[in-house]
Amino acid sequence: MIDKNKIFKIITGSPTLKVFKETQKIELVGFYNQLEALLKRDIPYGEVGEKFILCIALTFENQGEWNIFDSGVLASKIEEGLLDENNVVLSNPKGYVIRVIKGKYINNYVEASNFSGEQPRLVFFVNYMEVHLSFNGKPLHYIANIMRPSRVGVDTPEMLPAREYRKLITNHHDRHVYKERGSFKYWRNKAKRILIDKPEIQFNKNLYSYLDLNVIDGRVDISATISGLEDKTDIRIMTFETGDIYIIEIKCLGKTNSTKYPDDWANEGLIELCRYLKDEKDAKTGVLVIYDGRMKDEKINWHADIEWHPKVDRDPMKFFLVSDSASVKAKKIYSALKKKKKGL
Amino acid sequence: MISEISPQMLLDNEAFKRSNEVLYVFYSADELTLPFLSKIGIQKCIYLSEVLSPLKKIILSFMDFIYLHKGPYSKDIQNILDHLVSMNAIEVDSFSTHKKNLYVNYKITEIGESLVENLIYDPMEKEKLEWIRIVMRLIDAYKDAFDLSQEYGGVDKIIDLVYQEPSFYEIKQRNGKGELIPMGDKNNLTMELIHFLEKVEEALPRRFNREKYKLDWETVLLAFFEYLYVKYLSEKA
Repeated sequence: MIDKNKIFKIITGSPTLKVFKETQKIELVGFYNQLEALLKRDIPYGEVGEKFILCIALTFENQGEWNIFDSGVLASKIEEGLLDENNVVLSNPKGYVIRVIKGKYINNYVEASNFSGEQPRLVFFVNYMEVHLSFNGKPLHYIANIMRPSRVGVDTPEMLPAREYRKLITNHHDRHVYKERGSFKYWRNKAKRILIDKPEIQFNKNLYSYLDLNVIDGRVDISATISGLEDKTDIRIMTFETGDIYIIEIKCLGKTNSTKYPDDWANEGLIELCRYLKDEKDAKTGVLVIYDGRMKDEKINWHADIEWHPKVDRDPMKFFLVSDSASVKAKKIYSALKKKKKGL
Repeated sequence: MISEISPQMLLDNEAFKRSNEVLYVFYSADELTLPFLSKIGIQKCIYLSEVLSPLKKIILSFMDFIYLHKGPYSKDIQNILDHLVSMNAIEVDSFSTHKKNLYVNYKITEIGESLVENLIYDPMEKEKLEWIRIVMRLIDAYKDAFDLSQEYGGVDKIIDLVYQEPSFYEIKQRNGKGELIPMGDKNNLTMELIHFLEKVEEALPRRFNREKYKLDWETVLLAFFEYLYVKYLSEKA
């Protein structure tokens, strides 16, 4: 019997199909498969460190100097410092590196995406466990953590239907936000509770990637437009069977080096969400998700004049961001596990 | 005068067609710079080319694959390999072992390449080569995907995906050893999946941009391979 949801997940979200639809090159699908296998193999053994940032641009030239996929070669090139000052390599689909581009260092996925548009080419930006794919100047696919099951459509124990969005968002928090897994970092200074600049972008991308893999019955989009408007939702889920839409709006409270995000910021988020729900006729519901990096875990003061849309989830989800060190967090997790075992 | 075609001539003709198809697999492997194909790998490559061929309405000649625990198996293939070696169209490249069994690895020779280049003057043969070529490119693209069997190497790793192939999988579920695997366009789970993929956009609600999800036949084939891989990973998880 055909597993229709699995097929829908593949045709609407698989990275390999996205690569092929854009480039029409099966060889590039092969490159994607091999690169994914290489990272999953090398990262857990510490072959590459956390500071590892690499940008690979694909070309169809034949003569290569060394091969990314040969066992241990990429790791030893990084170890030797080959990519310390220039981190953009031109590779052919078989993995042969044509050359390292001199005087070029790409720091983030936006630069990588722009670089992919200088000449229409497929570009992989790998920041430790995080992978961004772009083609011809536009983002194509995002993987928050390559060490997770990273293939859209693969069954995971955390898979749930879209209507269970509250459980999905909570599971994402417990497994990824609380534990700050992989490349997902949001504190600039934990002791002073200072967040990184534009923290919402990190939460947005990471939650999107989690939902993309774990919503069993729908397509998940980041920055999807509202029907007929220029407004963009943070995250949108559209179910395969009915076309129902779930909107997720994300706000992050606290302070960065340059900006403060107080209660008002959450109120603005709620107003935005209600406006999206008013305009998006197929919306089933919408939920505001707040990641709270303020000094204390306080309630949000909702402005009395806000008109809550009938479809909005009346219970916005708020997660207080813990800034304990990893060892303190580990103690807390262990203590919770012991309590659970004792049935407390 | 009407020439008579004897049953023996028909049989010979069929055998030559099969030899050609095996040779096309080696030719495509060589184009992809694959060093060799083992006798396990060649069975899997021919099987996938055959079971998926109705997608492009290509008629290949291997219809008699049976279910064995190592995957779909056609007894004709080994005979054809021997025949092609005797013609110097392919040669023994090396040997490999798997679970104490010795396997022969073959590769195409210059004579074999030249034979193919002559055969494809016939448009039907050329069409068959083009078909096998694209299936081989997909096999090449997936053979190094993450977590495929460590027991095998090279193209043989594709065995994990072939186990998920719907027509084979169905027989495997009921352990139907020796059963003939259904081929062709009818009553076949493989083609049921392929036909679903061909019109997949129609199964989505109108709210989706259906035009965006309309798949051409090459993307259907890729989606099929991705489905096998995703099913494999799901089963392994």
